[in-house]
Amino acid sequence: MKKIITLICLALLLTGCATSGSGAISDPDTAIITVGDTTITKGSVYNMMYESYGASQIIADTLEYISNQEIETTDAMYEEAQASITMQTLIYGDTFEELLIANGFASTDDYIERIIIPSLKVSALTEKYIEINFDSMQETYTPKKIQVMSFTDLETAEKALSELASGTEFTQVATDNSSTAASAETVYTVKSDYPIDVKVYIADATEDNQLSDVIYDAENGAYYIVLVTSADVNSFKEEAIATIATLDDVEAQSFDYYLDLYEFSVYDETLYNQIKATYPDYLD
Amino acid sequence: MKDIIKKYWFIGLIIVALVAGVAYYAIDSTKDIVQGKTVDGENVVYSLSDNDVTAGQFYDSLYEDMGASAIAQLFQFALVDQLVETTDEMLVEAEAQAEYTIDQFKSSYGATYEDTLLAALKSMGYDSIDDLSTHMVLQLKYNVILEEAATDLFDEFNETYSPRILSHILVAMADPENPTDEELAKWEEVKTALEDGTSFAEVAYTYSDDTGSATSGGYLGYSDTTTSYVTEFLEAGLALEAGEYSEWVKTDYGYHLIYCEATDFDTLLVTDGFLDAVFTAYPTYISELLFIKADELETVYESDELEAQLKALFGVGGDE
Repeated sequence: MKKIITLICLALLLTGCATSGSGAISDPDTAIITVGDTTITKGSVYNMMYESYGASQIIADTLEYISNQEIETTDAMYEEAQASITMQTLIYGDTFEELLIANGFASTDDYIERIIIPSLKVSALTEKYIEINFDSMQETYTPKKIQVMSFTDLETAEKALSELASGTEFTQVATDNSSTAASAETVYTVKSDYPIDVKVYIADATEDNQLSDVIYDAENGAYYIVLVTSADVNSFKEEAIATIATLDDVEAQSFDYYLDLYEFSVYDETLYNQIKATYPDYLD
Repeated sequence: MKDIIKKYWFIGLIIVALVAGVAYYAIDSTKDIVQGKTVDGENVVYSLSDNDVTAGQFYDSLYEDMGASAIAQLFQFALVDQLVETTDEMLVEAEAQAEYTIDQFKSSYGATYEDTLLAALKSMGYDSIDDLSTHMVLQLKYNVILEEAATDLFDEFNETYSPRILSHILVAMADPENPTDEELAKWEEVKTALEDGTSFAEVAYTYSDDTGSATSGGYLGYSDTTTSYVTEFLEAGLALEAGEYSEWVKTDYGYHLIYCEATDFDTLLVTDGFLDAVFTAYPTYISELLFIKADELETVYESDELEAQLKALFGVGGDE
C-alpha cells in the first residue's frame, strides 16, 4: 500500500517538473552600441523586438516560408506590384519614396520584394488552398454569379421586371429605373450581404439566367429583382476562387491547413503562449 | 483472491480514483507545456517540416523589419539618461507619475492591468512594472533637454513666429458692416462693463459670443504666426505686447477685443502648444543635438551602416 501511495506522489511530482522551452539567443552580450557608460546589447534589442512583435513575426515569417514553397513568383505579380506602386505614388506624390526610405526600405524595388510580392504570394496561397479543397469550399460557400437591382417601391420594381421580360438588358433596366443596388454581375457567396429572402432565392436557383419575381425585404422595405446568370460554379471557377479567397474565415482556414501540413511547432514558451492567445487556431 | 477483493474493495476503489486523477492532472497540466529544442547548441524558436529556425535566425528576421527602430529607442533612452542629471525632485515626481499611470491602467484594464502595463513596458525594453518610475525619470530628463533647446532657440523663434498668449472677447454680428440694434446694444454693454472696471476675463465670461473661450475668460492660449486665425485677428493679436489690449478688431465674425497675456519665455514654456510649435519650426534640432551629444560621449556603433540607419531614422545628416 505504501508503495502505491509513494508511486502516485512521485507521478504528481514528475508532472510538475515538465520543462518549458526558451528561445534566448546564444550571444546576448554582444555590443550593438556603446553610449558613454551604457552598452546596448544584442540581447536587449532582441528582448524588445521579441516582446512586441515576436508572435506576429513568427506567423509572418512562417506564411512567407510556406508561400515561397507552394507558390511561384510570376511576372503577373510584378505587374500587379508595379501597378500598386503607381497608385500609391499618385496618392503620395514624390514623397512616397521618401516615406519608404524613412520606414527602412532601400527603394521602391526593395518595398516590392519585401512587402508586395510576399503579400501577393500569401493571397495566392489561399487561392491554392481553395483550389485543393474546391468541392467542400463550393458546398460551403455556394458561389453563383448574379445581378441584383433593388427599389424602394413596388411600382418601380414591377415596371423594371416587365422591362426585363420584354428583353431589355439587366444593367440598362437598373440604370433607367435608378436601382439602389449596384447591378453589375458579381460572384455571390453565402457570406454576401443580401436580405434572407434574396439569399434563399439564389440558393435554390439551379438554372443559368434564372430571373426572380420581385422579392420584398420587409426588414428594410426594399424590393429586389435577382438574375442568377451562372448557377454552375464550374463555369466561373477562377472568379469563384478569387471571391472565396477574400473571405476572412477562409484565409484563416487556409493558414491553419498549411501550418498543419508543414508541422508548425513552437519551442519557445512565451511565444507559444502569445500565438495561442492571438492566433488560437494555428497551434493545435 | 475473492476474499481479498471483498475485504479491501473500498481501498481499491480509492487507489483507482487516485491513479485516474493523477493521469488526468498529468495530461491536462502538460498539454500546453512547451518543450524546448536546441540545434548545435542554439535554441530553436519554431520549426516548419524539418526546417528549424534558431533564436539567432529569428533575431535576424526581427532585426530586418524593426531592428533599427528598436535600437533607436534604446539609444535615445541611454543618451537622455546620461545627458541630464537625476535630481531628488525628479525622483519624487516620477514616483507620483508612475502611481498615477498605474491607477489609470487599473481603471482602464481592470484585473488584467498588470499584464497590459508590463507588455507596454517590455515593448520599451524594460523588465518589470517597477521600471515604470525609471521611465518616468527619463521622460522628465527628456523634458529638460527640450526646455534647454527651446531656450537656445527662443530669440530666433520669437523674431520669426511672434509667440503670444492671447485672450479675446467677441461681439458676434451677422453682418459686421451693418450691425443690428441688438448687436450694437450688446457691444455697448461690453464697453461699459470694461469702462466700469470689470475684469477682461469676467466680461469675456459674461458677454463673449465665442462660447469656446468664454467659459475660460476668453483665453485662447498659445498663438503665433502659424495659428489659423483670420488675418485681421492674427495681425492685431501678434502686434500686442504683454499686458496690452487691441482696439476693437472687425472680422467676418463681428468685433473682437484682444488681450495679450504674455510674450515671455518662462510663461510660454508652461503653456500648452509652445514646445510643439518650437520643434515643429525646428524639426531636426533635437535629433541633431542628440547626435552631437552622442559624439561627445564617444559613442561606438556596431557598424557605419547602423550609424547611418539611426541618423536616417532620426532625420539627421541626410546630405552627408
